[in-house]
Amino acid sequence: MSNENSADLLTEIGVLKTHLLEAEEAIDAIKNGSVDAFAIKKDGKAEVYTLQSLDYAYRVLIEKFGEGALNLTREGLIVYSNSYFSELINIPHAKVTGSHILDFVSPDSREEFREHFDFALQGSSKAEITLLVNNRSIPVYISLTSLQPQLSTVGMIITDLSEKKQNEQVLRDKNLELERLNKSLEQFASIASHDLQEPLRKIKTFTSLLIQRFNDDLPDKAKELANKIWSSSERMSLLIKDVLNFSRIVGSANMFITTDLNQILNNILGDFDMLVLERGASIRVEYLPSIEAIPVQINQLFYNLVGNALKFYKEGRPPVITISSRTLLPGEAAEHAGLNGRLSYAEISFKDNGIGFEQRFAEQIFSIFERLNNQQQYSGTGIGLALCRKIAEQHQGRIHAEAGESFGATFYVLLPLKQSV
Amino acid sequence: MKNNFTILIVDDDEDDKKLFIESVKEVDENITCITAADGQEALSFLKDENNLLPDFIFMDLRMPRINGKQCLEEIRKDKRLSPIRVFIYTTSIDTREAIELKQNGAVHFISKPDNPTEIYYILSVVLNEKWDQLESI
Repeated sequence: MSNENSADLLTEIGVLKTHLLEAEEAIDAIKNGSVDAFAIKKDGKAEVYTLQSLDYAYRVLIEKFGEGALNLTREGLIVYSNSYFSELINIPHAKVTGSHILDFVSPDSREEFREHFDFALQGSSKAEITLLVNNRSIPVYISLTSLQPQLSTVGMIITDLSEKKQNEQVLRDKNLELERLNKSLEQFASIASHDLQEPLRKIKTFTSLLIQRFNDDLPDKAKELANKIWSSSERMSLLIKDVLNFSRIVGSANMFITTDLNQILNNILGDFDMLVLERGASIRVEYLPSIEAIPVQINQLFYNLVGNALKFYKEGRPPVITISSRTLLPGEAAEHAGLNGRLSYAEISFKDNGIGFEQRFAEQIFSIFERLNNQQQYSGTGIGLALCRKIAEQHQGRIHAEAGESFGATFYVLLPLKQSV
Repeated sequence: MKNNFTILIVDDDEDDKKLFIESVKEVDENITCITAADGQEALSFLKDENNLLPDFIFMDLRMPRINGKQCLEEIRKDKRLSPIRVFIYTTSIDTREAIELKQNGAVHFISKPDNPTEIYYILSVVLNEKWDQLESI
């Protein structure tokens, strides 16, 4: 045996001793349960050896977990992945373990990921990042936790945000659509208030000129026709004004302020003074509450309801109108479809003794342009009650109607006392 | 009421201008009416110092080139022109627009009536400087 040979042997023994020592350390670590896999470098590539001796229940739990779960070395090598994660990125399970986590992180998110990972080495960290696998971006929420002191690795839980992001996108798109619609509604309002009104105004102007200036020269039949043109165009301008009002209510974002409903009702009753006198009507008003509302809209709502009660009266039976109010507590409100069950409501009722309607039309009357009575007898555009419904809805409220037994009707308006809890 | 008023009517609608002038003449034949077809024509007339300034301006809103709102702004910016009383005279029934224009210095916002006798009424109120009596929208 040459000296060289014995020196070689000694070196080899030294290497073997080191390997033995490493192996013993590894066995100790396995016995302690402080590792569950080894990443061993072989020909420059990392190979991962997982161990069977893990707590079975724990592993099943993680496997069945509805979120991705990874165990990463301090260098970011994946030593464990549950099947959810490999399904999420659509890469075979065997290929996931042994890969570096950054291989699955989108380049845009890598720096952010590194920061959070470094932070997690000392404790824990959470972030929203994007994974990029086979050109597919997956938005995820990650939660990183150092598993020290038992393990030198980092645990990572991955929540798939794709659906949430999609929903957010849908919501954003819908909002944009809504904004666009509101814009076109405003445009429509402007067209209605001017462009449609203009030719109509001329029809009326020239018809009235015709009647005024040539009254004596016109045969009666011609005068009658001119009057018909006038009243039709009058009706058309009323329609335009009402449609305009309607579209403004729908498209407006208004301020809710504490509003005394008694004051609003008193103002309206003042407007109807003449008509009340003319029809011999009597109006009984109970005390109404103050609520959070858009005053100009409530004004319109009450105006339409009182106006209807005075308009649809039966010949020979002077209108008797009763306006009363009661409070619905959140529990009671919850029983009504469409009401916010956490709010208290004021139920204001408008009861009349007029011509009423058949109960089967109780819903239909709130549709736009819906009329139950003929134009000659009761004028109107068929927008009033549709507008009332819009206003109630704008206040998180409802409106419905009940036909009286043989005559009369009661309209119930439910409005929240406050707009939020 | 003084009877040598001058009124400038700014409107691109020939019918409306004609009807308006007819009504003015019915109120008082001595009133002078000047017309302009849009804001630009009105401004070049007003800014020409050779021209006598009108006592009142009745201005439509929707007009080509320079509209009524822009024209009103120009008038209010010009020290020489700003004392002239400007009435918006339009088909529009847009309340928000009316409020905005009054804030911008219009004396009144008058919706063009559909009955010529109403023009007569409006004019007699305005020329007697009692425009507070006009219905406000």
